[in-house]
Amino acid sequence: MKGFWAAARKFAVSSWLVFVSQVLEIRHLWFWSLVMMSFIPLTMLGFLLLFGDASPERVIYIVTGSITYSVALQAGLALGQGIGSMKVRRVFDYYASLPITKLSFIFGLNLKALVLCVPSTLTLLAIALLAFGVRLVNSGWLPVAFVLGGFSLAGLGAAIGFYSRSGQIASIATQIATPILVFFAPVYMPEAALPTFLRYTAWVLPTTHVARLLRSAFGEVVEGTGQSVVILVGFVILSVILVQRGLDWRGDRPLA
Amino acid sequence: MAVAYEVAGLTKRYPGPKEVLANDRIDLRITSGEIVGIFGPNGAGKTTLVRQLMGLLRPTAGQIRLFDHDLVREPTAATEYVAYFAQETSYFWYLQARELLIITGRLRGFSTGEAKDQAEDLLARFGLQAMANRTLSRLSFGQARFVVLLTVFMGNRPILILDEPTNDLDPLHRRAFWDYLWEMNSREGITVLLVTHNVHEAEHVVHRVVIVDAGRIVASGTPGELKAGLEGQARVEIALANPLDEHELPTFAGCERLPAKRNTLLLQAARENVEAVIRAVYDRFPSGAVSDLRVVPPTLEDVYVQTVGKEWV
Repeated sequence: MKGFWAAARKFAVSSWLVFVSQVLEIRHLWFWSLVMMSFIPLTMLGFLLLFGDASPERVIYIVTGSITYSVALQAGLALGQGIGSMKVRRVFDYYASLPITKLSFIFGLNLKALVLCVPSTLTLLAIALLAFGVRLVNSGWLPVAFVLGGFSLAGLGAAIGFYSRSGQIASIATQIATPILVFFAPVYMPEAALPTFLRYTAWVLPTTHVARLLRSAFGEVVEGTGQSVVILVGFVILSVILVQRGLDWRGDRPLA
Repeated sequence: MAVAYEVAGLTKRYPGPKEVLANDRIDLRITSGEIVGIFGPNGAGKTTLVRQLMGLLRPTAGQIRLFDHDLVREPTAATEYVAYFAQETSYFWYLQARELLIITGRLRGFSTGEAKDQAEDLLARFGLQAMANRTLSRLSFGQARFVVLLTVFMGNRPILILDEPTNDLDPLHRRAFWDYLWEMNSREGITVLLVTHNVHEAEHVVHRVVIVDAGRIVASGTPGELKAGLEGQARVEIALANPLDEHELPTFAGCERLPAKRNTLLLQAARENVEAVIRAVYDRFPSGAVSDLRVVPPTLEDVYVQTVGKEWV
């Protein structure tokens, strides 16, 4: 038991230090990072509202879709681009030669991305609550969706980063994965609006379940939220297993 | 003395259409407290070797033992004992010098207080306090590299692997670094694996030399042992007032011409021939053409040139 707590403490400390080093490393970009993290969901929100009605139900779909986009993709998949860029800058070797686990490295990076998503999420929520008068019914689902959403795609993001041969390839892979995860899932629209085939495949996409939990927070979906939590927890566990066992940050990489 | 590294039959191939055999059946034993210089031409496989010793690259074949650990099966064990400075090192351009040192110390297991104390000691030792709160982006490239180099001392690892540590450093910082390394070796008994092209500088620091060429160890021994092979030899260094092209350089009987810069003529001769060689040089060149002439005993660099047989300029 003592060994477990020592390992847990070491994990927490090293994750925190990776997080701190990464946040400080973009200290000159904090403002622009927040702009970047907020820009896409906010413009998507503006665009969809501009070209449709602003009924409360529609607003909920657009706001929760934008938060899902921001959290699951920016926090999860941006990891791939981040790791790819670290490879190019040789920052990877710095961390790999220190006594930290892959998992704490990924956790620290993901935490950074998640923290950077907070302002855009709060902005979207503020717009929904203040400008469109929608109400939060089960606000407890918000942090659950936020955290599980951020970490459920960590494994995929890490895999893209570790196995892409360069930062550019990681970026391309991320951009290919993004529309699949957003537009092939009921993120911005009800499940019934998807073609039948996609309704089934969407169940294996974490974004489906993040959006469902977020809509639950606004009282939109009542049934099946527990199932979505279980599925997202499953994705988080899969990510942990993938990072811990499946990904090799040492391996056979020659110097480029 | 305990054996720090025991390497047997270490082979590394980079697969591909043009497969590269970077390390070929390398056997190497490194004892605790040794400073071992790993020399060799570009592409000889030195960096591949040390990256495997750091657990950053998986060998194709062979064994690496680090103290009681099988590093091939357990590559992360290296992180508990070894601090690594990479040739193409990573720069955290927007971390302050002090922050980088402290974070590295913390990641190597020091408490915040211990990491801060050690960082302050290093900053004071190298006179860096004035720039400690500047981000690396606001330092010169050499200064930033020096700060990154100092991170290897954070966390007191018993083994340091340094790949081209003094590149881009000015002479004062180079000397300060070598002095500190030597001091840490004498005082704390740290083991150092030093990959460098700067054979002349490293000669004064290393206990033992390993010369690698085409992925294999081609010579190994103390500097004294290696230089013994050139005993009875001397090198005549002639600085020419005007540079000469390769085809204009004369040859002299009783000596061998070594590769050198265009305004330098390097001759290696048996000691008994040196006087005749000097006379021949002055006979060959008109008055004023030779701006300096020195006779020096063989250096490690001469051993290197003779062993590797490639240009070293």
